[in-house]
Amino acid sequence: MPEINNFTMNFGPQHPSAHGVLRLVLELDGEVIERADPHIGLLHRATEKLAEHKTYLQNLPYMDRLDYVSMMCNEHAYCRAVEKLLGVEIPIRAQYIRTMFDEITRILNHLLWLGAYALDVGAMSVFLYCFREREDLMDVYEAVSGARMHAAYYRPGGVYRDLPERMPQYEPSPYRDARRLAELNANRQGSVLDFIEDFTRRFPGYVDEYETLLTDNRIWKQRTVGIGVVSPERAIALGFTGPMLRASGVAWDLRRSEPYAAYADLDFDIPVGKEGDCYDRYLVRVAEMRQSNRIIAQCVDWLRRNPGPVIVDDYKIAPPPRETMKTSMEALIHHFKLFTEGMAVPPGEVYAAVEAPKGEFGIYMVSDGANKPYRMKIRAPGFPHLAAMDEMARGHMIADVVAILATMDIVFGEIDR
Amino acid sequence: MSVLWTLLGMILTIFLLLGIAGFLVFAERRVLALLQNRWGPNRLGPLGVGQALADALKLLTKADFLPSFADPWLYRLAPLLVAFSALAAFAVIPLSPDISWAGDWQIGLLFILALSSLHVYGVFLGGWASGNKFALYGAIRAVAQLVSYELPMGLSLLAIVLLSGSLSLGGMTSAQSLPYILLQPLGFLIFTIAGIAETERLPFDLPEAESELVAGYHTEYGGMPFGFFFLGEYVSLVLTAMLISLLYLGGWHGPWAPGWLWLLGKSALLIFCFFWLRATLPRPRYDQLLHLGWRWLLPLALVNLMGTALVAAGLRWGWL
Amino acid sequence: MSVTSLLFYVFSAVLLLSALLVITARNPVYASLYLVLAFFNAAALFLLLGAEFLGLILILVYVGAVMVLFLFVVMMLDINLARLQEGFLHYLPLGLAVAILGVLELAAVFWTAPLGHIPAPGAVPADADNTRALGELLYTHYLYPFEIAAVILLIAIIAAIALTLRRRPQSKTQDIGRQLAVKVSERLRLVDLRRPRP
Repeated sequence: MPEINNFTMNFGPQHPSAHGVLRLVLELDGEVIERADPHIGLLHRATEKLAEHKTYLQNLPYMDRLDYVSMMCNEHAYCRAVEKLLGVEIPIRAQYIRTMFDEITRILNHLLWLGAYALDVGAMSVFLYCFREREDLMDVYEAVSGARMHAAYYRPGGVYRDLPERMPQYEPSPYRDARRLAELNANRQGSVLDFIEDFTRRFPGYVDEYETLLTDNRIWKQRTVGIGVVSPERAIALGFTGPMLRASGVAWDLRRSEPYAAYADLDFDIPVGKEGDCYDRYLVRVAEMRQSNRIIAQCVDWLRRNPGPVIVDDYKIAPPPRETMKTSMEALIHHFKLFTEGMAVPPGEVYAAVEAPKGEFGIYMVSDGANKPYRMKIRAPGFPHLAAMDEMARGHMIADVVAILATMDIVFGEIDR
Repeated sequence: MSVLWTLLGMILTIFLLLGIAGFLVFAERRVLALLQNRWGPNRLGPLGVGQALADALKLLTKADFLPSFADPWLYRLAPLLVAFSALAAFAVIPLSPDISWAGDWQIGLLFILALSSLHVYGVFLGGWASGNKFALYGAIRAVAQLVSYELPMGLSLLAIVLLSGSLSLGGMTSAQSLPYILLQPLGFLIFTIAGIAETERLPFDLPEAESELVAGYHTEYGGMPFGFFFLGEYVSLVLTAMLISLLYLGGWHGPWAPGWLWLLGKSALLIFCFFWLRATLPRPRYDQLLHLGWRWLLPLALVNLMGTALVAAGLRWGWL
Repeated sequence: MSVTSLLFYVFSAVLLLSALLVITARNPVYASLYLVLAFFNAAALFLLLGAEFLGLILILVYVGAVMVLFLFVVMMLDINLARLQEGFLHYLPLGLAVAILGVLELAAVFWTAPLGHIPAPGAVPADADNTRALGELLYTHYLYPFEIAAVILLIAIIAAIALTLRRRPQSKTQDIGRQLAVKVSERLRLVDLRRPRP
């Protein structure tokens, strides 16, 4: 009897669709997967260890770089943890700004996810259309913080500064004539809020475009329906959160079950799937994009009507405004202490989580009263998802592994930390 | 003396075809880019056409290497087979009733089908001779796909042979008083889909699916050998487009303009549609691809053939 | 010597040489490819004879299908040549006996055949269509053998598939019809999970 050995194949780490650096060792029988073994750690940057040696403010930019496609949500979890330890309540305007930017981040994340997923499955154009939308949102990031991606905008105590009155404009250049320039700057004539509102008006049309290309496309359905099915019980047992959990039929969303920021006062629905296959996850995330658009519109409206402070008054936590710092002695001393030694956080331990676009992103922080965390543990949503790779991929084919990997929305920044 | 002229003419034709293939490489990038909300190559030359020349020069000047684990003879033979099978098919393609090399050879169609069998060999040997597991996988997928789609292609062509009573491309085009797409809509669809599958373009480009097997059977090729694979793909694209134009869209029939212009115009329109398809559709999984070929196209092609035969017999013998 | 005879000698020489190389090549892939070369030259000889349909069908069927199948198998299996050639000396007497028997039978046929009295083939008009001639013969006089041969081939295909088909118990297949019938409305629902305000 000839022995049929399984054929072992290395998928990655250098692979056009391994979504970062993933070494996936696949044992194949022909084209069918017998076993999938993910090897992680290729992007490990020792974030948690570094956090123990930096002050609370210096740790903030690390959070951006964990899940590097949903930046501000990570910052939000971190700031919530620190604020819980400090026991401060941030101003209501800051809550709304954070809510709005969380949802902008959700749209950013889902757009990248959709583009990458479509590209992996072969529909290349959707990738570029999604990035066109992301450009507008990254311009918002830049207007508010100066950086297109890793905006260290949220601070413990609120947000860094209020929304600017002017939106950055396109400058004249040899590649853009005056007419094109006017076209590009047409929706940037007002403040950032005007630009965001214009975006919320245009966005549902764009999502309709993506859905036209994909949702009812037979080839798309053939590639995603029935692939990577996870039952609701298994999903809960494996530790899934976020869209992966909701697509399996479990209606659980931190924004509703443990409301934070301004979510309790906002009107939005939670999309829930049924079968738990890749198609459901796709539908859930696309619907989430539409709901995020709704939330952003409501936030813009509120922010227009309610000016106010955006960071706590306490100069032991948040730095004083620069004008005050240059005239008042106490403000100067506070500024100096904050930016050299950092703030002192009362001892305690706290777990704060947010509904990040990928799932539940949580920070477990232990403080011993110093200006640096004693221990910061990051609960990344993608980690249990990737751990379930073997169970989801067994019995499927190589092409399905690509689809399953993409549907999990894996970003190695948060898995390897 | 006339042999010399003939030879010169043939060499010129080959260069022309290679030039068209090079231009198409550029055109595809441009069309795809414009469909995807970006520019594509637009810096070199007017509208960026110089990019084709730049790409050709780049490939020509790259190092010609032989991987240590590759089979030396077969590794060098494979790209030549692919390029040859695509170029030689143009010997039987007529541009118009008086411009062709062997367009009215009695069995031109069989010649083209035989050359597509040769193309399979080029792909197969390319994958195996590379000595690379992934390349072999890609080659096996490619061969299975190519062989599976040859059947519906041949069967839909048989229906056209039935209608026109000739196996030569010139004969089949001349016999179209009405473009055969009207008489054989199903056959047109089957032949187009099978033709796209034979040239391995999206949505049937699994053998080179970048997101799965890096580059499939031509992973280990670089420089001009890779250029030959590439060229072979684009030349066979032109071939497929011209075949569809000749056989289903009426070929050189058309008012006012000279015949060859009509043919080229129809082919260009079809090629644009192929580019458009590439920008739009996702890629089915490998077994779904074969499912489409065997479970849908083959039975439909058989039904098409039998239906055509019944109608033709009926018309001839007076039932209908 | 006319061009035709020159071509005939060239093609025949390459044909004989490649046929010899098929059985003497060490690498089985090379042997299969030499066989493909032999087929191409045989097809060229057919073309020289004016049987263009036969020549191209030879390439289409033999080279395009049969040899692809052979190559598939040869390339996928890691054939260990040393092990295959192990029993050579053991089987040599039997092989030699069979070969001598074959040669004797061929000689007997050639001895008794009226080689000198075979009439030259009749003059073929320049536009005679080999395809049409074959078709007219096959589908009228030889209809039954043709159809029966087709049925035999079909049985061979079914038998081969039935013998080697194995269902993998752990592979998850999807039914394409059911996949395509999925509707968004039956998969996605929007719930409002808001907690009642105290």
